[in-house]
This record gives sequence, C-alpha cells and structure tokens, in this order.
Amino acid sequence: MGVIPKTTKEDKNSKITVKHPTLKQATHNDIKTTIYVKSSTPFVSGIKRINKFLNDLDKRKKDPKFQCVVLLGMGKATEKTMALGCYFAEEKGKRLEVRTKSVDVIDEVIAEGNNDDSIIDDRDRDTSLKKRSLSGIEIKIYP
Amino acid sequence: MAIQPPASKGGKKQYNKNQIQKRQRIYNARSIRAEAVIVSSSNKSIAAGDLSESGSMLNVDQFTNSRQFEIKELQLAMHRSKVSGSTRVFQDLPRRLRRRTASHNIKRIPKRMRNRALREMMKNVQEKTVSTSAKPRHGLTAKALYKAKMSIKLLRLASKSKSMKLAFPNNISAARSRVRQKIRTLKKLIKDGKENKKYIRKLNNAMGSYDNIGINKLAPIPKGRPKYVKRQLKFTWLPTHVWNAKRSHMIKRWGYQIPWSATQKCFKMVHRIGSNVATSDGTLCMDTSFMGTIIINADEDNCTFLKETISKLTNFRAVNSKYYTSKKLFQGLMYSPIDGNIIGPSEVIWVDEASVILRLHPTIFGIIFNYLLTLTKKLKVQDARFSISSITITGAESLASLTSILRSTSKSESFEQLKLVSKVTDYKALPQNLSFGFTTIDPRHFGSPKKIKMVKNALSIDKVMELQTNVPKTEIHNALSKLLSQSGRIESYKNQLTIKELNRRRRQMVNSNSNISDHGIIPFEKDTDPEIPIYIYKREESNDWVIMLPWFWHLPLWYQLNRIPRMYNVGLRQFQQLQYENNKLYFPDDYPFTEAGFVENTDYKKEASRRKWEGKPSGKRVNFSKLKNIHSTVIPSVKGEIGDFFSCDWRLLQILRNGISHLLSKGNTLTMINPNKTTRFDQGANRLIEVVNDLFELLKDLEVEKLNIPCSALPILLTTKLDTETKKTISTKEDVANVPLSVMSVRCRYVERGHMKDNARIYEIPKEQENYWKDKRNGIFRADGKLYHDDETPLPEVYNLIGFISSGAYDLSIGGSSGTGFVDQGTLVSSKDKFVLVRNVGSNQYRLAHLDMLII
Repeated sequence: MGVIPKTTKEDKNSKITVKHPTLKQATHNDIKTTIYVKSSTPFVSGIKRINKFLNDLDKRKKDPKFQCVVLLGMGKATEKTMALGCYFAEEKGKRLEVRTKSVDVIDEVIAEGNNDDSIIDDRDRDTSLKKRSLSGIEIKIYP
Repeated sequence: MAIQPPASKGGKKQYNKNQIQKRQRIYNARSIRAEAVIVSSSNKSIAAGDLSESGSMLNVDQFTNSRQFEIKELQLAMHRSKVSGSTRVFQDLPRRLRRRTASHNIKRIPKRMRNRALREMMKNVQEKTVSTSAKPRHGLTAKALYKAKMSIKLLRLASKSKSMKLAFPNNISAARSRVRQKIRTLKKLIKDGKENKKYIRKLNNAMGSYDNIGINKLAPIPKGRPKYVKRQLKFTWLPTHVWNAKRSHMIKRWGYQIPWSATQKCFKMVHRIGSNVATSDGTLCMDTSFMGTIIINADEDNCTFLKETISKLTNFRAVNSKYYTSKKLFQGLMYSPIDGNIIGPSEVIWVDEASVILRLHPTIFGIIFNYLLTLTKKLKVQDARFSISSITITGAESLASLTSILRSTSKSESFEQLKLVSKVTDYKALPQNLSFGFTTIDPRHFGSPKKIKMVKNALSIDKVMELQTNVPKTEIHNALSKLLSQSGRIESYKNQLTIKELNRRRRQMVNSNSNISDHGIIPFEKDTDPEIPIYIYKREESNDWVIMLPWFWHLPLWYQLNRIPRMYNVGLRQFQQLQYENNKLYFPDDYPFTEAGFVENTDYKKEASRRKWEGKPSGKRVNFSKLKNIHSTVIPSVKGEIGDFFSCDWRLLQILRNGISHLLSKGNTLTMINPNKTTRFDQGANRLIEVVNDLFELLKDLEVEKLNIPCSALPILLTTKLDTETKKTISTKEDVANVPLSVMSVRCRYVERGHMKDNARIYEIPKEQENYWKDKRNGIFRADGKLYHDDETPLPEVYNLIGFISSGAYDLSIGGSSGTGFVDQGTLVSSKDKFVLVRNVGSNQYRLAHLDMLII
C-alpha cells in the first residue's frame, strides 16, 4: 500500500504492449465465493450471479471466511461494484462490509533501446515489466 | 425399481406389500405441513385462540413467521421426497463418476459407499461378478489352438527379452514378418543375451525404452509392443493411446491417432476451466505428442546460416532479439522458403546460437522437414517426433498440479520459481513467455500426487517481476540440452524401473521406516535413479502450458497427472473450442489462406457435410436452391443460396470481389444483368465480363473446365496490414480468377440476437441502408419496452458479399454469438464503421454484427 508514486513523463511515453491482470491465488472455495466485477458486467447479470452465489453458500466450507460473497472491482469498475453492493444493502437488506484496496498490476512496456525500425510488429519487441498501482474496492455481502 | 402392473387385465392395479410400502413412503415424504395461525385479537367477536375460516387481519410478525414456517416445510418436503426416491447408493454419485458396471462390481463404487452398496446388492439378490478360478474351456480346433498358443508364446518371449534389457531386432516390429520367424528370432536373441554375446545390443533399462531419432532423415515409426504392431501400420499411436482410447473418441488423421474429444460431454466444463475466466478451478490436459518436433544444430561456422534459415522461414520475425537473444518462445506463421506463401503456425524456441527447436503441426511438418533436409551440408537436422513428446495443460490449477507430481533431482532455481508461482490461478498475470527447465525425479515415486505446501502470502507482485529478470538461464539451458541430445535422453532412461520394482521399493520403504518423512514418496537416490530432463513453457497465443519430455517418460507422467483431482482429459475438439473462445485461429480449420487449411475447408469438411445433407430425405433438408428473398435483386445465373452450400466458398469471394473491382476500374457503374443478352463471348469463345451476372457464369465455367481458365492455386491471401498499398489492381479479365484476393482475419460479434454458424456469409452494409442499421444498432423497441426483432430488414445486393465466417458458434465467454472469419481487405479500408451483416447458409435472415480485426 502506501503512497502511489507519481508517473513521470518518461513513464507516460513508454508504450505498453500487454496489461497483465491482478495476481490471483484463489482456492476452490475462494473461487466459488468471489466475483470480479468488470466495467462491462451488466448490472442485472451481476445481481443474478451474486444471488446464485448467495444461495450456494451453505455448500461451502463452514469457515466464516467463505460465508459471504466477495465482490471485487477496481479502476473503472469500482462504481459498478458499489452500485451492486448498494442494491443488496437497500433492496435485499443484506449486511455489507466495504473496504478500499490498493492493487498492484504489471504492465509490459517496450524496453529501452529497442526502437529498431526494422521490427514492424510491437509483439516482437523486447519488453520490461513495470508496476502500476490501482485503487479498488472489496465488498462482502453476508446472507 | 419401477412399479410394474400385474398380469391380470382390467380393474385396479394390484400392488404387493413392498410396493404399497414404497408408495406410502413417497406419499408421506411429499406431504407438506402448514401452520394454522391464530386470528388477531382485534376482532372482538371471535374468541382468542380461534382459527379464522373467513379470513381477517394478521399481525406482521405472525404473518412473516408463518410464511417462514411454510418455506421451511416446503424445503423439508422437497428434501424428503428426493431422499425417498433414490434406491441405490451409486445413484448419489455425480454423473462424471458413474460407472455402468457399478451395479455388479463393488470396486467401481467409492470406498465410503461400498458397505451400503454391498447391503443393497444382497437385498436385491443380484448377480455379482466374481472372477472364476476354473480354467476357461475353449472350443478351438487344433489349428486355431496352435495359432493362439503361438501368439501367446511370442508375447512371453518378447516380455522376457525386454526384462533382459535386450533391444528388439527390427523384424520383431516389422508387421509383415511371420509369427514363427519372430519367435525364432526372439529365442536366438534370448540365448545370445544369456551368453553375453558381444554383438547383442543392450538397453539400459527393463522397460524397453530407447531413443528413436532420425538424424538428417525421418525417424522410424516407434517399435512399440509386438502385440500392437499391426494396428499401427498406417496411423501411429501416441504414447497414451490405450489410455485415451478408453476415455476419448479418437480420429485418424495426419498419420496419427489423435484424441478428438472426451467421451463424456464436456463443452461447458471446458469453457469453465480452460477459457480465460476467473472461475476456473481445474486443469485440462491433452497429449500433444503428435506435434512434430525438429531440432536443428549448427556448428560454430554456420550459426549465421542457421539464423538466416529461421529468419527466412518466419518472415524475419523469429530472429528478433526478443526471441534470439532473450530466448523467448516465438509463436507465429511459417512461410514457405520456396515461394514465400504462408504454410501454417509454428513454434520456434532458440536454445542457443547454434541450436533451435521447431514445433510444427503434422500437416506442415513434411514440407518444412523436406526443405531442411536440403540444407544438411551445413546443418544437422533431427526429426524428434518420436523421441520428444509433449503434454499441453491449461486451466487455473495447471502449475499447482505440475508441482504436485514433479520434484527436481537437485537444488534448482528454475524449480523454485515454478513452485513459487504454482498457486497463481490466473496465469495471465505472469510475465510473457515464461519457461522452466530442470531435471525431475520419476513421477511414479509418488504414491499419489502431493501438493506442495507454500508459505502463505509468499508471492508478491515484486517476486513475479523478478521472474523476468532473474531467469536461471544456464539451468534451463542445461535441462534443454539434455532433453535435445540423444545421449541425454538415453541417459534419462537408465535404470527406468518397472512398476514391479517400484512397488518393491515402496514396500521396503514402508517396512523399514515407520515414520516416513516425505509423505510416501520413494526417496530419490542420486546415483542409481533416473533423472528426467523436462522443459515447461507458457504459450501466450493459446493460453496454456506445454511440457516437453523424453518419449518414454510421457506415460509415467501422464498416469500421475490424471490422478490429480479436477484434472480432465480433452481432445482436439476442445482445443478448437478454447481457441475459438480466446479469439484465436485454429489450425487447419481457420487457416483457409494456407494450402492445408484450404484443403481442409474445400475437401474434408465440405464433403462430410455434403454427404450428411444428401443422406437426409429431400423433405427433411434445406433446399438451398429454392431459397427466396436472399438478395434484393435476383440474378438469372444463381438460384437460391450463392456459392457452395457446405463450405466457405473462397473462390466465389475471389471472383466476386476481383470482378467488381475489374468492372469498376473502367469507371463504369455496376450493373447486375444485361437485360438484352444473357452473356457475350469474344472471338476466342472466351466469356466477356461486363455485368455482375457474368462473374457467376465465370465461376460455373471454372468448375467445369478448371484447366482451360487460368486461376490461382489459393483464392485468398492473408494480409495483416490495413492500407491501400497492398491492394492489387485488377485490370484484365484474366486477373479476376488469377490474382488471389487479400483478406484480413476478423472476429464478428452479433449486436442483437441470433446464432452464427460455420460458413456464414458476411455482407457489407449498403450505403442506402446505413440509417436503418444505425437505428437497429441503437435498438428498435416495442411499446412494452422490449426489443423489437420482427421488422422486415432491407436486403443487400449479391455484390455486397465481402467474406465468410470460418467458425461461428455461441460463445460462452461473451454470452452471445460470435465467429471468426475473413473479409476482403479492400472493403475494410474503405468502410468507416466496423459493422457488417451476417447471414447463415440456407437462411435469408440478416443480422447486424460488430467487426474486430484479429492479429495473427
């Protein structure tokens, strides 16, 4: 966590070829209780999915960790995640637990000194990794 | 047990005691209790405690409580009737674990259920399968008996010579030689082996593993077991053939027998596990040993020549510093060294400056290998098809499952890295083209797969970033060079243990040591036990991991791999599905711009679906030639559906697109038909091309007299760049069929409802209809707020056809229909917005689709 470093001018100019997703190390039970909200997730689809997960919670381990549905959203999807959480808090009267988070992701940027003009395709250029921090939100919905 | 009606006719059914009991039980189970609520005391006329018949006000808490009670009762009743219905214990098993033989053979049922199953079997007085010890009686004639005994004798001798570590002479595996000849040879071999004759070639293991490489020539077909030699005359078996034949549908293609699809239904399961989704919690594995491996070595003087050769084959791509210096996997198109045409996809791995691995699909293996054979003066070309095998695994648990059956033989940085990232379930988070290489112990040393326990939160994003900078290059190089050299592979087979010997060691270990430290893993002995060189790499294009290992170590690893829970075997069909869901092309079906793909489309798939169609009675199949309202103008030379009904008709596309640019090149406007004349010929009786109708006549001519009209071998060519320069000019009418059309690979996705199918036609939106489709894109709604689909759409003209969908289906990863296809590059350049119309073959319904370009 901590302070997110400001991007310098050079950082901005370096071209990103691949944006890697966040690091996930989920167990079977995690997978069945966690929903990653995308900015393109339709709102009603999100609700249906959360409902399905809530119904299946009693199939999970009795560990309190797995007795709630976890919504995760970052960047552009934060707002949608909160909207989904609010729906369950207000319409369905569920108990929520909201936490803000800072998530690190890796970008592949074209390595310096690799501006060989003979290479046509950016895929063929050597890359170096660069860390980028994003803010996100975690919402736990209890049945 | 179903209730059967008694034999007597008429009247009420007579049930026996058992049946009556059962009916009663089900009846009881289905009854639902309801709560009687005491009426609110607000109504003074009714005494407290009375129940209301007529209905009156209730308290809120009473109301909710009684609804709660009813819901619980309903749930309970559902549960009870579910439980009372099932009669046998194995019916509780999930579909995947059900066995047909479970009702006879207790061993097919999981151990925790066996006691109950046994009781049920006793109750039903049912026949159980019992192995009989009595000798089976045969009804064989003397001749047949002799024949049977001879083949048994052959197998006995073969296994004996195998256990004596003797290498089989060639005529044992030669399928055409006679049994008695083989027996004689084997007897002599065993006799010579006992006397330790000098000229007897001995193996270094009792499993019969040997290295089967072709140096500067094709490798011979693997010898395999003498019993199965005759079955591999035309199509070679993969190492896991017998295993897969029991669990998958197999296809015979490209000289191999390849698993096509798992026997059990697995479409959704493959999507959930293998596709790029966060909910994946398993692994899919496939034997990909049919992929041809070529190892090319050069001596010091010829390093640059090797680089040039690879550069030529990959259109200057695979020699960029990313691949050549940084030693990352190259996945890209392979070009013919002779005419520069695209042949197909390939993988190139640089080991060092002097050696490189090519991995190729069996269809294009021959072309490249034959070319490389012409360079043998400078390069050493090895055909490692049958000496290096590979397994492809995908899914969130891929690395976790690998680490549970592999252990490095000595301390290895690369293995530590593998362990570190093994718990990462979304391996897109890992750096591009990651690879691991180390020597591992025999996976059979594990009694069962053992998961590696990791310290919690050991992995941080910084450690992942270090993976790219701290590559243990020498270690990986050492493992790879062991894997790629003949001596290295032979060394790895040294003292390969048989199952019997392994079990003996396990028994010794259990007996000698009561507290086994390493969880039942047979300890590795550095001096005697074999070390298996293994190379694991990540493929960006297809989102999976490939494990390369020596051919005869494939099966031991495979068996262990498939004992891991949530590991599923898949076949080519599933690989195709995953490629489709990943927006990638599948070779050869989606490569119509290559020779192999063109043949696949126009010969194999077309023939297969045509036969299927012809097999149906005429009333039950689509009559393609009588289809109406396809295009707004009907032209006389085509009735109904255009082009070939059963494939993507690339020749039609070529002639249509080229013909239109030919017709427009003179500055004329496009006319569909000449109303006065049907068609015109010049002095040489060649058809003149003046109107659109003539193009279809030309297409018909081509089918009839292929040789007389010059036409290009492949109707289409792939272009990856979107610019006007590459567009070829069509000036003369000969060019129409002779110049291949430049196409681009695209992905179409339906904007609204509909279902795309293979071979669907792609049309551009005509200028005058743009407004209508723009409205459609934004949605035309009914008064009740739902989308309106039933309006009549305006029809495009036949010349609006710009491409075909090579594979289209319902895509579970987007929740809609989409398809991969190819579209004329010229129209893409001129079109502003990326929307097209798609129409399935045999239908006149046009659907709006969004178009994305694909990078190959």
